[in-house]
Amino acid sequence: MISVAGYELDDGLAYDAEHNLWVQRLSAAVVRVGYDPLGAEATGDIVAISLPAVGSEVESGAPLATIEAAKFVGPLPAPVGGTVLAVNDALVGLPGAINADPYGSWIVELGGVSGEDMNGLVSGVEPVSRWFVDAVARYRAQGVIAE
Amino acid sequence: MSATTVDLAGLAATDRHSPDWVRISYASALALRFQSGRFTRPFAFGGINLLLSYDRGCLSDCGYCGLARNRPGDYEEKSFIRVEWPLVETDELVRRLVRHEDKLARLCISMVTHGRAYPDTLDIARRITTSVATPLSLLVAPPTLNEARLQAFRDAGADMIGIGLDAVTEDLFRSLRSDVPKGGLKWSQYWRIVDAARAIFGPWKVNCHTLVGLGESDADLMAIFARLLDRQIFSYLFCFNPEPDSRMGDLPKTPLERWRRVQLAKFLLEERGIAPEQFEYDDDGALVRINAPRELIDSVLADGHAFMTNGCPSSGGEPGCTRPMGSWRPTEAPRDFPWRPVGAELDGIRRALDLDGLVRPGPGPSRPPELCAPPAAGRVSD
Repeated sequence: MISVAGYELDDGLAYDAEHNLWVQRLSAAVVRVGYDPLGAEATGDIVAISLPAVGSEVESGAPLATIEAAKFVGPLPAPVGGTVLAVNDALVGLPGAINADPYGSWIVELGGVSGEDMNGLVSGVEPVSRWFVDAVARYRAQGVIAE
Repeated sequence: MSATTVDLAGLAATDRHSPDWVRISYASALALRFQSGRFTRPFAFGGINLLLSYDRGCLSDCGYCGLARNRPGDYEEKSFIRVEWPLVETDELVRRLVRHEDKLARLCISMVTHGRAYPDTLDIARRITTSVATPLSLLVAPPTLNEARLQAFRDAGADMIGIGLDAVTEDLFRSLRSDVPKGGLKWSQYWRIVDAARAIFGPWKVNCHTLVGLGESDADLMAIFARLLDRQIFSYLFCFNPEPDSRMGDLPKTPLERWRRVQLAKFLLEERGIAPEQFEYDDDGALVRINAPRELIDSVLADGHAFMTNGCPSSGGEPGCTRPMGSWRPTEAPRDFPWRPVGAELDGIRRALDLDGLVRPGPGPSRPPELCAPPAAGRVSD
């Protein structure tokens, strides 16, 4: 773990820089996806999540799940394309776990993920740190994280 | 679990009560950055709502309210209008009001029925009005007040007074708020405070909250709108949204179709001068017909103001207290819009209203414009 701008980040994961999602490679073409700590916090208190059907196909950037927070509802865009192999059903009953433990709260598992999609993610200590400092500054400017 | 990153630890919950601590609505906590999070649709939001906080909570026991004393659970854990109200230190709140004043439109302190509610509201009001110029409303608890205390609120800088009638007939008020296990309220006492506030604060400076869906009829609602209009008192419309575990927690939310009709009829009566007798009801008091020019109705629909949140305005008369998602979830169509509805939002309103079945040709406005109400949602420029 590394500490960046007041957040603890897992530097062993790759990140979707636009949507603040982490991507964990489980094997060559299989990944798990979840919110990073900033993405979870900026969404607000998450009160509901609807998950995709196992077996469904999703393209990179297409809606993967729907997140409802106290004052927000919106799609969770897929950081990479693939086939939904598994979903974390436990989150349906306890969606606030995403806020409480973003890294422990994987949302979906995708298979058939291309190397090209993976190459579009941010990874490595230095790139992740640079990106994340900018992301925190952007969210602060938008007024969506507490002072 | 909360997304907040503000540390409120260090004091036991029982030590954190008004006037040094106050609850703040979730949307207000986002605006003042006590809490992390966002709105689905970004929009200018500056209506800050505060709520007194005590260990024992509100001593009233209203059947529909999240704060009712007999609703299960600790006061610390109780929701109000279905969402969490974070507890914040009053002086820190005031510092943030100063810091974010350029974005603020309207402030409001909601009292609860409690022995300390009056002095504590006065204290908090003074702390606020000596620090920021944003106009301040007070949503008052009539059992704690009299004329002198209302005058003291005005002297402290509050410019508008709200009274939460909620139940719009005496019988309904009695069944939901008077004849309750503990802490019954009195209809007559509420109206005494309405009268006193109107005398002290003046025309269009007092509002009564009226709740749609507690068991009243549309005719009951329109009667109270007309009564208050004649006295230059605002009616602010609220949609019943059952509070889990309250005595009315299992009742259905007010149907959207009924809610839209009430919004439209109220607006036509108050702000477009349509006479009360032009609204027809069935034997149960449900609104079934509006006899008015179709082009007037169509223009009201196209304009959208009628479907915006009723609330105290900014100092310039623009929308102030807009309570985003106060009576609807983010996944639902807004019941009252904190912004001016357009496009697909207006299409949805039209579908819910079924105007071809509701409207028949009839006379235009009969109430002179100078006797109509100012915009209950505030003035929105084109």
